[in-house]
Amino acid sequence: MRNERGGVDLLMILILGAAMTVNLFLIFFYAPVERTMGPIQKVFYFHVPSAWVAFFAFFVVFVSSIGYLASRKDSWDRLAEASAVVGVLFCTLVLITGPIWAKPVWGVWWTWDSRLTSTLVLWFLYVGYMLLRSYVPDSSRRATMSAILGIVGFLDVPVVYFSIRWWRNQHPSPVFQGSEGSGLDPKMRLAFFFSLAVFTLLFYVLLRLRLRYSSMTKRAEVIFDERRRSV
Amino acid sequence: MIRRAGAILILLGALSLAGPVPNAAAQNYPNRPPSEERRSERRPANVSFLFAAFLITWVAIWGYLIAIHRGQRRLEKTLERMEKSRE
Repeated sequence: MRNERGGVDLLMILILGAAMTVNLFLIFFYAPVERTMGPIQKVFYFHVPSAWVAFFAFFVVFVSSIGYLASRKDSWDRLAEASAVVGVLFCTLVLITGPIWAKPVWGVWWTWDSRLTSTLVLWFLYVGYMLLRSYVPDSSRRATMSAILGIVGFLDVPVVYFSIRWWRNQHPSPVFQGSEGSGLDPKMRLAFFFSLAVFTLLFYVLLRLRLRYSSMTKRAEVIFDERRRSV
Repeated sequence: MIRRAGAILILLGALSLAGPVPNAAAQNYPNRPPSEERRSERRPANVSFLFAAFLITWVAIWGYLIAIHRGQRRLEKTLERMEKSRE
């Protein structure tokens, strides 16, 4: 069973490698260069899917935190922890690719507009979540406290998403269902949705690896506890 | 097989640095005003660097996943050995 799981992981990593190659081809050789911004707009195909995956990961944290508080099962807590770690990784990618795109287009690396600020707050919230997990030694207390933070922290996700609709911003308005004239060239759309699928697959693979790691840590703790008791 | 796939990706990156990426804008928008055409023609070198940067990042992420997977497989075997010796 365990070996089968490892085999599935390897297969998924290989599929992901092929999908990543196709993704690069679609972004750089298939999708046209945007008229106004030029080649730097290619960052869009990495920036937006990273943001989508970060939001999705934090949603998984939110749901599993509720699941833990309702059932007190460890598996929910482990899922929340794994998803938070992967979510922070993708949120970091958003905060790195954003300024790389902003500098040539806006002329500045960073500006304190609502979208950027709320994203930074989101990142701090989940880094805080990880710190909390590492500082509370008692596992049951740690799981309860982090579940509460996982639920409260998710409240920032809708704020990040709707910030460009609620307030005037430097950040561009939504590409899909945004203002009049918004939308994508069909080739750009295909490249974008393929990129979204690849990033989601990457999230899933990372989540599986992280969950496997946490289950192995638990097994190792059981063995070491028994050894300590027997000595 | 994994090494071969990695080598192909690295080769693609090297090729992208050696020659400019075809100007997709010029192919897809034949009726574009000349000023915009000039703007996108000025930047093909940037596209190559951007492509190389993303390719290297993808290869690094993929290599990292493989490394984690192998590490976990080794750890799994060690844990199984320890669990057997406990029994």
